[in-house]
Amino acid sequence: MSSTRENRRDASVLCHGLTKRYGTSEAQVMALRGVELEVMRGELLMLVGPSGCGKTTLISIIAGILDPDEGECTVLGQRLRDLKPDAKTAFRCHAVGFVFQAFNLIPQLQADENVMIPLLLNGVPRGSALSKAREILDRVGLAGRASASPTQLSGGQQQRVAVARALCTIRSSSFATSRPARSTMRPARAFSNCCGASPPVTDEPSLS
Amino acid sequence: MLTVALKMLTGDHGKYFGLILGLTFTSFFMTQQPALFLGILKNAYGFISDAGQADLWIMDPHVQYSRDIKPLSDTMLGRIRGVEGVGWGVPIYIGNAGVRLRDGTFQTSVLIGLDDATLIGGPPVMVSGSLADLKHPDGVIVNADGARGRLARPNPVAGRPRVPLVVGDVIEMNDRRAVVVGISAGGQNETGQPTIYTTYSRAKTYAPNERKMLSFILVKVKTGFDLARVIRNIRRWTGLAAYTREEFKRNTTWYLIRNIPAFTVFGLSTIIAFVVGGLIAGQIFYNFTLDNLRYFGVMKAMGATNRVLRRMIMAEAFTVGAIGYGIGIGAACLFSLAIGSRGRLVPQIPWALLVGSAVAVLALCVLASAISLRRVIRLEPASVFKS
Repeated sequence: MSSTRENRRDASVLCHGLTKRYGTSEAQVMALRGVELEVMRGELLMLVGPSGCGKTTLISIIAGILDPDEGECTVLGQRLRDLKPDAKTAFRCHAVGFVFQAFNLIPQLQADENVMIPLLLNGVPRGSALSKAREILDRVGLAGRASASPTQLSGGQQQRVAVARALCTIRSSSFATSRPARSTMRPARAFSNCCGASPPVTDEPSLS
Repeated sequence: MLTVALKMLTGDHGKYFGLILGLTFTSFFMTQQPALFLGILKNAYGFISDAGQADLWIMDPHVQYSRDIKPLSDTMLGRIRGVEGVGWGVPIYIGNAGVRLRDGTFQTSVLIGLDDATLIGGPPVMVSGSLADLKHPDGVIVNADGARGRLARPNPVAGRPRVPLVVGDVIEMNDRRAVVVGISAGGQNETGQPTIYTTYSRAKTYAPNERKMLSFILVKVKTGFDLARVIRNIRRWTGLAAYTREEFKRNTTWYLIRNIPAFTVFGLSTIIAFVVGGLIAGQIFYNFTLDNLRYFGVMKAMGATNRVLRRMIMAEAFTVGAIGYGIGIGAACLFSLAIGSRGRLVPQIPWALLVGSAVAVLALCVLASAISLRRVIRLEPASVFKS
């Protein structure tokens, strides 16, 4: 019992009884049904399952961009249910990093400018944000491509920029969705080394 | 984040230039059409402005605007001069006269007859000669636009441009000789006809003979007398209407707006420019926001508050607004200079018009960004995980 309590103190993500439904009446889909999850600090977690099983729904709830219908989720000791929308936005801003399935890099911005966005949102001045972004791009092996636009980058490079964007601020949790390419696995480990916990989501069992 | 917003805006060249083009079009037409209108208005009450020394214009109470002449009897001049508070009163004739050109053709012109003694109401700026030269026998002053335009002499060499009237040339009005003693600047009128100045007594001989010839009486109020009280006195004791220069201009403006279709067209053009330009700019801006909705969602997921996104979108809208406005106003000014250099009509761009256009463009930007913002504000950040 005491070891469980100890574990819980170290857990960076703790979910209890998470339930999420989409749609109403006959068209209703049960995306999550009483999910229990505990992710320890520093743990690299892969969320694997067939398409439509609720992986994205689960990390959306953990990341604080979706509310569960039932249950509760505590991330870094913060009960998300207790947060008002603005507070939840602020929480995401300083504590959560995202690597989107389609990377979602802004095409009009250079790689380093894409990476610095979370820093700017955290109030870091542009000059410092840019140099920090370049530093992180260097860590993911893209030092020479900092001024390239996303359209000039290969798929793998775009993915690494997206990872750099998630890494660029001092984060406690980072989330990636679906099919992390093998080239991204190294940064993903770097990810888990520097961040509290990072559950990438994939429907590729071979990657687990 | 504002730099990010501006880079997002300028990065999409097609939409960026489309937006600027739309807003340039809007601000150009919303400035140029009223500027033309104001230019024509200025011509319409140009002679009112010229009589700067007079405080009041006295006229038949049924006169509706500057060219609506309802002649008074010459005896009214004496009655006006007798009203308490009137310092001086001088007659002015405004009418039309047919000018016979050397090639035998007739050209209708606006004839202005000034008080013989004071020449009050004459052109304030002369190109050649002087106002006092009107005291020479048969002397007339022709405005520069008329002298080089409709009243220009045929060129003795066939096929060459007409020769402008100069001081010393002789013209004929109502079978009477008139000698050009000066060329004035300005003097344009809303009809585009030449303007000829002469003395009041001589104007009566050049104009078609009528029983009454006194068009208006110009009055200066004695020092220390209340203007409103003198106006009341004139109305009570003579039955005539008395207006200040500004009132007379305002009456003229409203009459022209209400009764001349061309002036309604200017107003409609301005409104159409606002609506069409606004729709173009609004539509492009809305599409631009929709195209970037995914990225706004990404920023929202990463922790951008609605306030940050609102500021980004407003910054984008105001940037294209400011650039479009600047180019549009610049183009309108160049247009005015080009038209004005020809002399007949000088479009007017007063500061109030610049402010009005700026407010209209600002309103368009606020509207376009508000419509776009609704989508962004309502956007669920979780939606970016769906693809």
